Amino acid sequence: MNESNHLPAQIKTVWRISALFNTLLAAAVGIAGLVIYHFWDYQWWLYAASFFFVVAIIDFIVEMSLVPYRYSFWLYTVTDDAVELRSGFIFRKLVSIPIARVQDVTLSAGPILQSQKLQEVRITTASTSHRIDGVEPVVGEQLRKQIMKLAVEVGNHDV
Amino acid sequence: MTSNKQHLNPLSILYFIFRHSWDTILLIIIGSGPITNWSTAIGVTPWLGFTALAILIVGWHTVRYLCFTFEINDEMLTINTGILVKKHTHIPYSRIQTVQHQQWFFLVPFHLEKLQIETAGHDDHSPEAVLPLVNERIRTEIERKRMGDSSVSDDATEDFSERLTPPVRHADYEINPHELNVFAMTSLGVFPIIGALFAIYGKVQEAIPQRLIDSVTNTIIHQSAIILGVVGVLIVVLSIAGSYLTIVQKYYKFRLNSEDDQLKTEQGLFQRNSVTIPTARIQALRIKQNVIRQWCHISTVQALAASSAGDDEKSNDLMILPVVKNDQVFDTLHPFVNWAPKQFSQLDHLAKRSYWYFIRNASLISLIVILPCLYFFKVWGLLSLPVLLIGILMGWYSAANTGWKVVDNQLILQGGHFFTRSQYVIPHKNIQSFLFVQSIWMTHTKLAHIRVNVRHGNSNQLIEIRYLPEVTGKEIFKWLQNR
Repeated sequence: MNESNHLPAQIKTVWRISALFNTLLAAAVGIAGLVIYHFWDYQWWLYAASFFFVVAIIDFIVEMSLVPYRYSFWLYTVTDDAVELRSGFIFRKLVSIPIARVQDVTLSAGPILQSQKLQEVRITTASTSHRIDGVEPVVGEQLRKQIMKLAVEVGNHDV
Repeated sequence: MTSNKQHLNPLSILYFIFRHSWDTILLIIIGSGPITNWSTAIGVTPWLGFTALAILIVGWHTVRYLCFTFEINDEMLTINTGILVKKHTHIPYSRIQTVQHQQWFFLVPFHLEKLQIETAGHDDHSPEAVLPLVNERIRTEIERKRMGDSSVSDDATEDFSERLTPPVRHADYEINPHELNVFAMTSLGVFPIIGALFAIYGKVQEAIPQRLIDSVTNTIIHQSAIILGVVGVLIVVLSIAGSYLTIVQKYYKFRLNSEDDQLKTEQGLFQRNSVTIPTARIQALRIKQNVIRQWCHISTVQALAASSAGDDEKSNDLMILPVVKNDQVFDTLHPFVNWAPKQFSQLDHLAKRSYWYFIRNASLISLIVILPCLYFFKVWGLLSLPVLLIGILMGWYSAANTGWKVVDNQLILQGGHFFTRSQYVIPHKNIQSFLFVQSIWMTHTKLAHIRVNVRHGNSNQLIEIRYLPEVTGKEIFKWLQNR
């Protein structure tokens, strides 16, 4: 599998749900502000609360509208000896991580990812850390195996 | 495995107390109220209460000292610390990156020193092991154990150039006093000190009672320009002297020697600071010069390593050659770091049209200062316009000093920031990951940025070459992709 892959389509749902959660979190802070304002009647609480509501709404709109953009321009490639992550259209970025430099791979899944049957992959080198937002468990497992295999082949790549 | 737990030198109780003096002072301030109250309540003099507190503090640090033990085994160094939470740190000798020891002049007769040992782990910002006050013999013992299994680190140095030139077993270098002098005179470090002194002067002036100023001003109002001038000159002279003395005492009798592929640096007047690192652990080399040193043709060579040992708590920079004449950089360096290039490479530079982007970006940044100044101070805000000029100069400087070259198995990248030029020599195998970055507008102008990540200290050093031709960027990226 040397061709570029999109993230699985379910990731869009994951992003949307997490955007919703972020909005709810900001809104909850706003509501808390309103409640305090109700009891204390201090003008600044009202301003703070409305600030959080505005943030919540703007964040929601921006994140939601960016989901298709993020999806179409976020690609990853796993070659024999490197993982490449490509992102963005306006600001294009191509990261290449030689597998020989990888120190560890972490697969993890929170409740939202679990509901979509996905896993987050975090690849760590001696100095940097890179994340693939979500892959199917099969791909994650394959990635892990490939990296382990190469790590053994390369042997000592000490810092 | 024989267990031979050792304690630190008992004097380290004083070290602990001194290191936690802020906590102690805070404790005394907070405690002073209650202690006075309670003491008077039970009818004893408050001094007794304070003595009890002092005994408590000394006692606490004594227990701390008693709980601090270390063992030097055949395979690893073990450090046991903690009074309530017991902590045992095990460090296999082969994993040690750097051994650093610091010795104040007054500890020399007692053969005591502070020992810091670092591995490549990046859990913490502090060294993995700190032995605050131990006999010098401990370090010799650890170093001997570490050298014992040098076979492991030999595999790691599977470097192409290394097989061509047999490693030099021994080399020595000592800083030339005249060069150190020039180095100290040409530091840009005076500018922050000048700024700080002017700030202090301003504060002092504010603090002087207005009445005093009024009476004094009346008598010397016509001389104020002279006085201001004198104060200004005094501040500048003091800053230069301060910066000069700091640097000279820091790099006083700087020595570098290499033995069995281990580099050892030694420096300092009041406190001798020494770092030992295996050559194979060096991730990259940095050759640095500020704009004044560029005119004086002197450079500084530093090593990037996965350890925060260095001459400065903050910067992690491991100094290899504080000052060396430009034409001797690599001649001096090569005996110590055998993979270092033999001479300065002829770098590729940016085309003149790329200069514009650097100047544009720097000018835009300077607007962050200028626009608020114009808004708040109206016409007087125009006085901030020199910032724009500095911005333009900085942009031009960055662009003019940007350069790159691929030589054998090494990537050489050069850039300029804040009137300081840094050239990095990075072996291919030490590049942890790399990026090719381009905005949509840059696809039309056929330009790109290349970013390279190298391990430095406990984190990452990003080295970037901006606005280089897309084709060259792709070539470098291709070269990086080749295993």
